[in-house]
Amino acid sequence: MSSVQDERLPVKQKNFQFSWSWFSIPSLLLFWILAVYFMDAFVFENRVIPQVWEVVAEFWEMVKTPTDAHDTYYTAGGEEPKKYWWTLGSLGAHIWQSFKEVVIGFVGAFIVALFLGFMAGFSKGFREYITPLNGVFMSIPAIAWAPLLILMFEKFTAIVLVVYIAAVSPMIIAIMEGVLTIKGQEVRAARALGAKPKQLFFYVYLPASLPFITAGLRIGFSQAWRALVAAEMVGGIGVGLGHLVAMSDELGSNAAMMLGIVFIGLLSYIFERLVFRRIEKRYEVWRLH
Amino acid sequence: MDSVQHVGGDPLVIDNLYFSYGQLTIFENLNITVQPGEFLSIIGPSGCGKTTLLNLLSGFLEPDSGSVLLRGTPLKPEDPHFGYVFQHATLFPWLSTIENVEFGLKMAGELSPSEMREKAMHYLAMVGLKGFEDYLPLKLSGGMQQRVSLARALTLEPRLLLMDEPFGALDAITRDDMNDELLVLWEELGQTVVFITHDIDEAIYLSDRIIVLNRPPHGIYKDFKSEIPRPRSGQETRTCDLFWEYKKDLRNDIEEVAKSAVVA
Ligand SMILES: Nc1ncnc2c1ncn2[C@@H]1O[C@H](COP(=O)(O)OP(=O)(O)OP(=O)(O)O)[C@@H](O)[C@H]1O
Ligand SMILES: [Mg+2]
Repeated sequence: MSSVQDERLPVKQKNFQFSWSWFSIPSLLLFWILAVYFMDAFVFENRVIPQVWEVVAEFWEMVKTPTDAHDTYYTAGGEEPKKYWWTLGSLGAHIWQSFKEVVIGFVGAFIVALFLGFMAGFSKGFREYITPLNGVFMSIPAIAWAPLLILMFEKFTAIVLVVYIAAVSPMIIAIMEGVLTIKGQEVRAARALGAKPKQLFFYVYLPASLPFITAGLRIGFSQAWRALVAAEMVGGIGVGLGHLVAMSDELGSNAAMMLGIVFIGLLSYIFERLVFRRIEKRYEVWRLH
Repeated sequence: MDSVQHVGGDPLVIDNLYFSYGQLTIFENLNITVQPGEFLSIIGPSGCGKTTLLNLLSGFLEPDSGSVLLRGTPLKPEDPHFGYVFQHATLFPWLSTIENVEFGLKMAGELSPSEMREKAMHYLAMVGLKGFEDYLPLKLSGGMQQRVSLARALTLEPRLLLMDEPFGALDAITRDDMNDELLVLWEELGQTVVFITHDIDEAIYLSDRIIVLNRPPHGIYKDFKSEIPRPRSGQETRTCDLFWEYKKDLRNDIEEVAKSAVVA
């Protein structure tokens, strides 16, 4: 008996298992360093791309530089801005700005998509109605709306709206498809076990569509993040990672520009891998069947 | 949990039932009365309307006219007085085995979590799956899944158990085991069972009464009571003279039904 059980328990993965992926980032860094040396030696008089350590130095520089607005935020009652290392100085201000914009736009989009996605899943008429609209918004990159929105709203609001537009349609579609794949059999089984309509929603439709909701979250977030960076570059509000990348050339700091790029990737990685991917993994076990 | 109560229940009455899918008439004036505590098997060729009949009994489908009544009222799918075991174990893949078994109790919302757990464990043990309560359904074999779905239907202690080819997807040996387990449970709990199958041996082994359905819309081809004594057990029952006799007869009946279809 126990051997039967053991066999069916999930296989525990070894913690340290060699993977070629360990080399990916180091090799990229190595290539970067060598390429910059090469360009220094043979190509450009004035180097465009900074060296890795210059970017690291820039990182340190920015962390040490407080910005009034940002650090005051963390200081009680408007006294002299204190420095908190964990606010990452002026870099922290850029990150915080981008974070606010993406979270507001994305969470708004998620709530709307949850509602519309379920409606579209349940009602054929509403599905027919909303499909072309999703098509329209999916085929126009959200950033294209930015100039118009900036004319109409405050820049912050405009950026949030771009993020919202980018994220909402793919999430509606993911959630709708999720609801559509729920098997009639499961619903019938639940009804035969006495589930009333409200219970059907909470105990069958919702859990059955969770894998699709989380997949939708991930897709929506990657769209939101791309749109955010683009919108910040266009509608510069004076702060934000996209702004950092777009405006650093005016300040003559290519290292800051590169730092912005690195953090755009890093934050996206953190969200995608450490947040959404984890949620999604939880459901993967039974989703495939 | 007083099983005598189930036996003493009311008959399930199918009265002058008409049903069609659009142009396709399935039942015309069908009449069956299932006695309380009776184990009734329904066999018949594929497409003769067996699943349709169960859906009518359970209220998933409405008759065009006529009625299906238990204690004077039609059954609704949500009715806790019957349990439905589907052809394929339709377990909820996101719930563990024990949570699947508890599902009906949770919907009813009458018991505390610990009482639900206790009751679910009782039925899970009854179908021989103690120790598997934390497994996800995907980690169970087909036969185990089917047993879980049986336990899930039993936790509500239904007076009436509707089973649609529940063991059709299992191999012969597992199926025989499941049949034995089902009989033990039934003798203990005493519900009325309407059991649908393709398998003649299974029908004879289990039933008090067997109905052979004809091609639609001809309804009942044959309806007879089994004289094979109970308790029934394995080889003894499967090799007795009556068993062979019924088997020969039913085989003929089904061939007749199949032939009539070719002519028609
Ligand atoms: N939803 C439906 N709409 C239209 N026709 C249907 C529907 N469900 C079943 N039928 C038809 O009704 C007839 C009876 O179907 P049913 O599923 O009841 O047969 P069955 O006896 O259960 O067959 P099997 O043994 O293969 O499961 C078949 O001819 C089938 O094509
Ligand atoms: Mg069927």
